[in-house]
Amino acid sequence: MSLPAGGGPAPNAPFAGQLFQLVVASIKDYAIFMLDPAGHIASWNAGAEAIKGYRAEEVLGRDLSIFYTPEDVAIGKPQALLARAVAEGRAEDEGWRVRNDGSRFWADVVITPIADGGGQPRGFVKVTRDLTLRKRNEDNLRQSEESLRATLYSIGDGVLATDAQGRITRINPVAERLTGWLEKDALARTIDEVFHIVNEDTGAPAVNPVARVLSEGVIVGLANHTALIARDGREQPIADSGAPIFDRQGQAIGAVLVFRDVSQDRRAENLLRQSEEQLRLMFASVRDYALFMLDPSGHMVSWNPGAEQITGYRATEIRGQPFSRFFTPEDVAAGKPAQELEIATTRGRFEEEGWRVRKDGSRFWASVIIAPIRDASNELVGFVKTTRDLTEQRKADEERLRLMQAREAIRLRDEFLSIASHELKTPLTALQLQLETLRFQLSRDGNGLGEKVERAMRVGNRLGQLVETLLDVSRLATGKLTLNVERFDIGDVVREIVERLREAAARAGCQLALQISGPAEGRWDRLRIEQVLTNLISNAIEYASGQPIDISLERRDGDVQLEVRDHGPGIDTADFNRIFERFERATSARHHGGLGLGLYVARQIVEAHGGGIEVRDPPDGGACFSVRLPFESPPAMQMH
Amino acid sequence: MPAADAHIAGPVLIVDDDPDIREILAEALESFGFVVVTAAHGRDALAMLARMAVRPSVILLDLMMPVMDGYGFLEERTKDTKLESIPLAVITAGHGVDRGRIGPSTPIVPKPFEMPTLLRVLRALQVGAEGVA
Repeated sequence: MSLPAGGGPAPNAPFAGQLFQLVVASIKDYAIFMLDPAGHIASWNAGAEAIKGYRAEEVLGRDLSIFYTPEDVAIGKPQALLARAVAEGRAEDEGWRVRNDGSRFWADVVITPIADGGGQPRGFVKVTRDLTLRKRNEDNLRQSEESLRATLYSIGDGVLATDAQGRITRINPVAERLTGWLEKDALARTIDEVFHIVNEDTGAPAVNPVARVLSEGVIVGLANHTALIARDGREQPIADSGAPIFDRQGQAIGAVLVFRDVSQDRRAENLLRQSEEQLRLMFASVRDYALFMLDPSGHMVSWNPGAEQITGYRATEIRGQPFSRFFTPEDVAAGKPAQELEIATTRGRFEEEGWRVRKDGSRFWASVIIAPIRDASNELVGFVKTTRDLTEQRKADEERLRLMQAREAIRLRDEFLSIASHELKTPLTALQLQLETLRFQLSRDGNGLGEKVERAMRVGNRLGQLVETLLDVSRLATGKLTLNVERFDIGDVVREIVERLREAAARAGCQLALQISGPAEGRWDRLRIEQVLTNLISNAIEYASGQPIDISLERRDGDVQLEVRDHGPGIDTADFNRIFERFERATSARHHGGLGLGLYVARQIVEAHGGGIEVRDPPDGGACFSVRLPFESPPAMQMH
Repeated sequence: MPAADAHIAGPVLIVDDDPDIREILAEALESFGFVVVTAAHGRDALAMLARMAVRPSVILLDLMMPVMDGYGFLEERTKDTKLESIPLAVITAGHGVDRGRIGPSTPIVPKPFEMPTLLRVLRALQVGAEGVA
């Protein structure tokens, strides 16, 4: 080997060669050394020592394979590189090499064969550069790039990046989908071409934020209502923002645009707006209910027309007022407003009916429901209060209750009356029968007591009639009186009653004259007809004593006409209707006994048969009662 | 009062829960020559009818009675043709009589009544009963 060891100039080298050697020796960033033709290390410089960690005396004469990894040595890489250098005049390689301490470094290696004047190979110059740092930087960059890509490409928003001229440098899959541009087609195109936006409402072109980002170096949010027109013409509402990319010097070297499809948001927004609108309309159209919102402290926030109608306050005058405004002073003093909110808050609902106060101070009966409103985090944001004015309903309820109570009272009274009458009649029957027997016996014995017994019997009869009438009235009031209709000749009944009363009439000085024009068979309630007739004739006997009484029965216009005519003082025409009412009578109660119920009952009975009863004053004085009865009484007709 | 009414063959059965009515009515009818038996209610009357050797010529039946009321007695009466053939009049202090349950031809004498009224009804029933007999 002719080359001297170490960095010193070869003794036989020319000046240029000496200079070269000096230079080589001082170079620290490159390992520059020579190999003999067999690949043994023939020279060593400072750079080689620095990079590989061998001193010259340790390394000279050794095979170059000591710098290679065992794997590379195993595949014969060192010799292969030398052979390639010989064959090609140069061999370059980048790869792992091993230092003296066993650590590895990334090396850039260039091997150049050296030939003598005769073309014989004299060895090789090998220049090795440690690229570990560069490689690490490159790796870092690659990783960073990978991570950026992964981030960009997995992000849910569309991302577009441009260079300083606004040309597309990146576009992620979401952005590809939204714009309709594939990254390979979009790259290097201008942003305006790929990211085509218009005003959603007007369709007019919208200002592209990238231009501003680049020119002003600021972050720009997109105007509302921007729509992106995709490559295929699809239009979709988007929200986006643009930001500049700065270099170390603070120079904007590009822009990044992040955007997303807001169709879903917009739909949800529209739905929300619609439902809010509906709610608002509902709120505004409800008039029967006062609907309003309170803030958490019970102050009025909103007000509907129903609230205005019920309370008399306008929205403008009530907003912000405490809702205690509607309470009575007593309730306010008792702390009710706060209690209601407390209950609504803790139990989720407050409900009551009670008196509230209108603007004009008048009170109304309100049905109130208060419910708390909570936000998503369950924080109380206020209350919704529904109030109904139930004053009328309450009045009606009270009225109904009063009516029911009154009805019940009447029912109880009538029931009592009915039982009392019934209970009265049984002993009365016994009494009258006893008196009758007594009279019979006395008349036989003739001891002068007959007249007294006679009087007792008359009193008993009158008592019996009163009880009878009382019972009828109570029956009429409870609506229980029904007709027991049977077929008979009414003339027979008239004859019988006249006979029955003839004796009593005679005692009063009245002569009964009966006129019946032929048979008159029909369907009526026999006992009731008897009752009517007895009542009319008894009345005549009572009011027109000493005068004759004419009773007549005839057919007239398909009906039966029954008349009882007396020749007494008569009845004032003003009283014609009144005497048929309950508790009414034509003359003062002082002159005649009774309750004034007889004619009322008679009229009810006749009307139940579908007929009528009336009174008139004949020109020659007295009173004439006439009863008209159809031959067939209406079926199932009830007295009322 | 005419003694002619005494021609009625069998006794008059008075069915009434009021002892005064039973007693006084019996006395009054006896004074007209009738033979009278009494019962305090429907069940009592049925028991009496079962015991009697002589069939009553007529039954005077009150409606409102304890144990068995007049309607109950009328129902039982329809189950026994022998019983059903005995003429019957209802004597009642009530107004709400149920004609449907009493029958269309049964006379009703409302209380209080006077003896002539009752006697007319008894005469009428006796005629009917004789017609059947």
